[in-house]
Amino acid sequence: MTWWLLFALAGIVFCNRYLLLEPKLPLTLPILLQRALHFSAPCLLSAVAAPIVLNHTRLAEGGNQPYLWGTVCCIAIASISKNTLLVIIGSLFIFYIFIYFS
Amino acid sequence: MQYSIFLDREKLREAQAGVLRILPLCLAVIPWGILAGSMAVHTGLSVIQAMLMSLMIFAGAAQLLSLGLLGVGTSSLTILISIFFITAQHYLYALTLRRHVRKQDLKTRLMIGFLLTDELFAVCMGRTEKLSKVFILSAGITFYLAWNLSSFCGIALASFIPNLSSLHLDFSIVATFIAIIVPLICKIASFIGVLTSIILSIVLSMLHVQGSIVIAGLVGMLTATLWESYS
Repeated sequence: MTWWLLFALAGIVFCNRYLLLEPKLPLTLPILLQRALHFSAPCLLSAVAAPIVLNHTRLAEGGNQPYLWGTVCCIAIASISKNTLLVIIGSLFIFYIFIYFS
Repeated sequence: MQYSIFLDREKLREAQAGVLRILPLCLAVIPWGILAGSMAVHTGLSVIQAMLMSLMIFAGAAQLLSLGLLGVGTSSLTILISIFFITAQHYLYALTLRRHVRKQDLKTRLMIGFLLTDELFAVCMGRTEKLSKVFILSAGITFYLAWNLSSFCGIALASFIPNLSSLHLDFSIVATFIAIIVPLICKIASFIGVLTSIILSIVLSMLHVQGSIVIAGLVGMLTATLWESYS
């Protein structure tokens, strides 16, 4: 990797993060978008996570899908417990059991 | 005098809350950081470059994607465009947090901008109390340290563990996100939105559409809003 590519990547990521935080940027949002922002966290985070599971899901392998079953178990644990740490550790444990037997 | 002591206690409490809230996510990011660090070395970056990558870019998915593309000989321009699109959801994070940081000084805003990851955003959104500068910064800095320490471990381990990708370290990020998302789904509208985003992000990523995360997220958000309006 060249140095300029490394710096350019850092620059792009920083701009994407900072630009709309800048209050001097005049911005009037339509009411619909303002209300839609209430749903930004769950919708965007699930759009980030879903393709990771998809990438590891092979229809040809039938029921042997550690990522898919791990995800299902994780959702089940998360809907019972609100403890983030417990959900993460519990579902990683189950996931690796699936991996071990796959 | 008593007033300033009160203020300091308040700040200390906020700082503690910030660190505690993000701590589980720090643990979960360790495997992901190790993966990013070791992959940087395996892709051919020098140790200094690999460390600077985590120090300066500080975005797991973007780092892994750029290394993956670099590994298969993609042109720099394509890498830059891909990184723009894979981190474009931050525009919406910034838009959501905009009103909370509007009154902060430039230095604080720049720092929050630099530290604004998926995880920091999630922690901020999960907080029901008012978002303070101390809370955001302490959570962000804690996560920054966790990310860099774990990717440094990955860089150091890279020569000992040749095939870290076979350890399926990326599931930790899925587990983290689910642990964050599920408690946020408290209305039917948010459930509909999440479902829309999941289906659309899967379809779009199968079609290799650039910017699939933002499109899927935005359509999900709008679907949830419309559902809320008309039901």
